[in-house]
Parts: sequence; structure tokens; C-alpha cells
Amino acid sequence: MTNKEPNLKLNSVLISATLITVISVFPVLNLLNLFLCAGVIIGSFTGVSYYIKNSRQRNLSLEFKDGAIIGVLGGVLSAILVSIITLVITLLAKENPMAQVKEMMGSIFSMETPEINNMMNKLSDEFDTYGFSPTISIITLITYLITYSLFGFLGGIFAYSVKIRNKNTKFNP
Amino acid sequence: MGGKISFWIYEFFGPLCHQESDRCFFIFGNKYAVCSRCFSVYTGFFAGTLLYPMIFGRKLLKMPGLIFFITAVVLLIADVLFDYLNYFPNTFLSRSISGGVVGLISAFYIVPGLMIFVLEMYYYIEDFKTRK
Repeated sequence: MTNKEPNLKLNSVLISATLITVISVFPVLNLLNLFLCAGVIIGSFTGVSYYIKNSRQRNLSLEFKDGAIIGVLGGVLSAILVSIITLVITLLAKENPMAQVKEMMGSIFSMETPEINNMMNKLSDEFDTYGFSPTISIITLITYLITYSLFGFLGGIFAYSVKIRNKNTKFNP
Repeated sequence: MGGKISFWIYEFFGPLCHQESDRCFFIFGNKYAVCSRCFSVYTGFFAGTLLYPMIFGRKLLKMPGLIFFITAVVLLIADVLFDYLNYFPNTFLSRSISGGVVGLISAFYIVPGLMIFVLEMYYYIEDFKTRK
């Protein structure tokens, strides 16, 4: 941990975050995330692979926790970026998306309850007043922070398992 | 209150899954928050986590060859693509099986990594305590 070059870790996190953000924001590409955040897993896998490759070239020791940290940080950074970009797009679009949400919820709930209707009306009012919904934006950020960091973590661990296994590296605590 | 909770649960899983009604399991008339394929992946992963110690014991970094994982992913992609191209429409069964196999197999690559990660963290904390 102490002999690692901080720039290498930072670069790996930035590679992960950039890739995850690009996959999450661009249309068609973002469909990947509809399968268990595959885009996030691919992004963190790539960042961690870059880190492992460069660590080997510099003869640095490899630890699983580094892969996990790079995956989580890449996920957290991209979650913030994606939330900001989504918010900007919502503001620029100047459309109230609650009609679509209502339609979707109508297909989910066989009987729409008054409390759901009230809540959706409140959210719709927020869109009309501010141009975006602060409640939905916060919830979206929290959702992304949890899911992206979790799947980033799994992607990092997966990359380490596969890459280290291929080189038959012995684990020596 | 229940409606509000379920609304936010569906919202939470929204970015993870398309949640299309005709591709989801239902329980007591209520749709699952994820599609049948995603649900099978989660279930398969859970089963794989339980099976791993029975097959490999507690041996560190013991995992099957990557070919198993690649085959499972290729089968899943084929199931999606053939349906998308209207060549061979997929069914609840094919979606559930392809998802379940990917979940099951992927557990065999992630669980050993998680075990080592936990061990590393344990030694790291112990080392930190002794230094203090």
C-alpha cells in the first residue's frame, strides 16, 4: 500500500470513471447498464486491469483491496458525473417527464393508489416550478452512488481474480 | 405508505433493469422490481455463493477456467440477440436459464476474490492496531 505510486491509482480511477460515464450517458451504449450495470462492471474492470498491468511493469505488489478501492472510487466518481449530466439534460430538455413515469407506474400497479398519485403530482409540481425535481435528483444520486460503487467493487474484484489467477500469483498474507 | 415504499424500490432498480411487465415474474399480483433474467442472475449468484465452499472448500483463488464464464455470457448474449433479430424468440424459460447460469458461474470468480479481500482487510486492520 505504501509503495504504490498515487498517480497510477488516480489514473486507474479516472479511466474507470470516464468509461463508466461514457457508457452510462450515451444512448444505445447505456442499454448495457440495463443488464446488472454491465457498463459499470466493464468500466471498473478496464481501470483495474490497467492498474494491474502497470503495477507488474513497475514490480509493485498487488493487493485485492487496491482493485476494490479503484472499482468503488471509479463508481462513486462516475455516479456523481452521471447525476450531474442527467440533471443538465433534464434542465435543457425543459420537459416534465412525470407523464412517462405515471404511464410506467400505471403498468406496474394494477390499482393506482391515492398516495402514489399525490406523490407523483408533487414531483410533477417540482418539475413545473424548478425545471427539475430536487427529490428525484437526490434519490437518483443516492441510487447511482449505491449501485455504481457496488458494481464497481464487483468489477474490480472480478478483474483481480481473473488477472492474478492467470499469472498464478500466490496469495501471501 | 406501502405504495410509496414500492414506488421508490421500483425507482431504485430502474437504472439496473428495463422492468418490462411482460418479462417479469409476479408475486400476489405484484410485479418484481427486476425482470426474470435479472432475478435469475441474482438467484444464481446466491446459489453459487452457497455452492462455492462445497465444491472448492476454503482454498484461496481456486476457480474454474474462464471458458465457463465466457460460454455462459455468450449464451446469454445469443439469447438476447436472436430475440432482438426476430430469429429465435426467447421465452421466460430461456431468459431465466441463461441469466441463472451467468449468475451461478460468476459467483465462482467473485467469491474467491471477496474472500481474499476480506482477509487482506483483516490483516490490514490488525497491522494498524499493532502499530497504534
